[in-house]
Amino acid sequence: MPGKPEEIKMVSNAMANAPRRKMMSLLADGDRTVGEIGEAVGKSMLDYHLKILEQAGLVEIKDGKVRLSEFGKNFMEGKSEKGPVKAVDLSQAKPVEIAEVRQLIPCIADSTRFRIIANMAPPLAGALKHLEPLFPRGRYSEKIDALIIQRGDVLITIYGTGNVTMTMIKDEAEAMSALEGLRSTINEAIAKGVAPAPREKVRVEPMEIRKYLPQTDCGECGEQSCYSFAIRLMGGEVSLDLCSPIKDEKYRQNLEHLRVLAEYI
Amino acid sequence: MRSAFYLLDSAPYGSEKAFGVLNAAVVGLGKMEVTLGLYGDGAYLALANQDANGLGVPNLADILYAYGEMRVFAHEPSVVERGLFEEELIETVELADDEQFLEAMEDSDCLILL
Repeated sequence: MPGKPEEIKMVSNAMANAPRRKMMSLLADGDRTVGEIGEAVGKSMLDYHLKILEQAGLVEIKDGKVRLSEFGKNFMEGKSEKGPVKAVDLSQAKPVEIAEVRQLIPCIADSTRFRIIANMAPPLAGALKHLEPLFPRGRYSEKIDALIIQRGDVLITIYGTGNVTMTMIKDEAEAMSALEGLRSTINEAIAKGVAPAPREKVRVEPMEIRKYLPQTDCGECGEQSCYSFAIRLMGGEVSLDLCSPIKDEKYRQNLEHLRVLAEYI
Repeated sequence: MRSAFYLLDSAPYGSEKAFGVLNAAVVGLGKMEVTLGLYGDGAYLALANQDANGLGVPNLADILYAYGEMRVFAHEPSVVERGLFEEELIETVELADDEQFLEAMEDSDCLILL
């Protein structure tokens, strides 16, 4: 069972590929023959991908049959783990001791703002996903093992490895205070040892908002397109009232949809 | 929305190519669908924990972290050939086999390389 750092890296790199992730979730539902996997996922480079999964210790292949190894099973169960089990892990997490800004990169979209790369140590690793409910607009991404937090314009990403990035920051002082804020919120939760109960969440995407907008790109709202209006609407920078075509009778249903969606922004 | 595939096929440090491709790709974010493809020696850019101190150039891994929304594909056979598969890679990098890598290039409206 993988335990050494290089073996853990093998597993994480084996899972950093879409066809292999599909194979793993297929196998989590039951054993399959090589042929069946080929049909479901695609035959190209099938043997190669299976070999990578086997080398990472995630699957076992015998006589043309593929099944998850014990480690593979645990790995996939860990991924879909839900509910109160989560709280246990948080009590074992170590509080964040160091939180420092590493680099400021000027923002290309807005030269008065910066993108920040910062560092948190010790890294939160497995505890990260249990922290998701702490942040009103927070979302844990399994794929990149990162917690993404939205606060107005600012988007904060905390990676399991300890890297932290922030967008649309005014200066280093703002970055430091945001970082300190994160550290104290996280440490407070770790000190309690219990994560708050997961909240019911609805994720709204700009594309979803755009779907209900008139999509005429008329520019009456002052934006170049309905898509950019949708993005600003999500950021809470503009109000739906600025869109006058949506008030037309034929869009009545769309307007209702948008008002519901706006509740989740 | 138009899409562009930026291809980096040379080592990240030692020339300004990687820095140039990264900057060009970042400028397009939000205006286009941007994909950065790391091929050949370019695959070294996928490594986590890069240390550019003493080289007098920015840490390029930090740029990838700063623009986490950018889609980054590393050509997996290039990664494996260079013995990087057992190394820690940047979380936002997706490994792509020959076919996926080619498909991503073909699906883009234009291909840009320096």
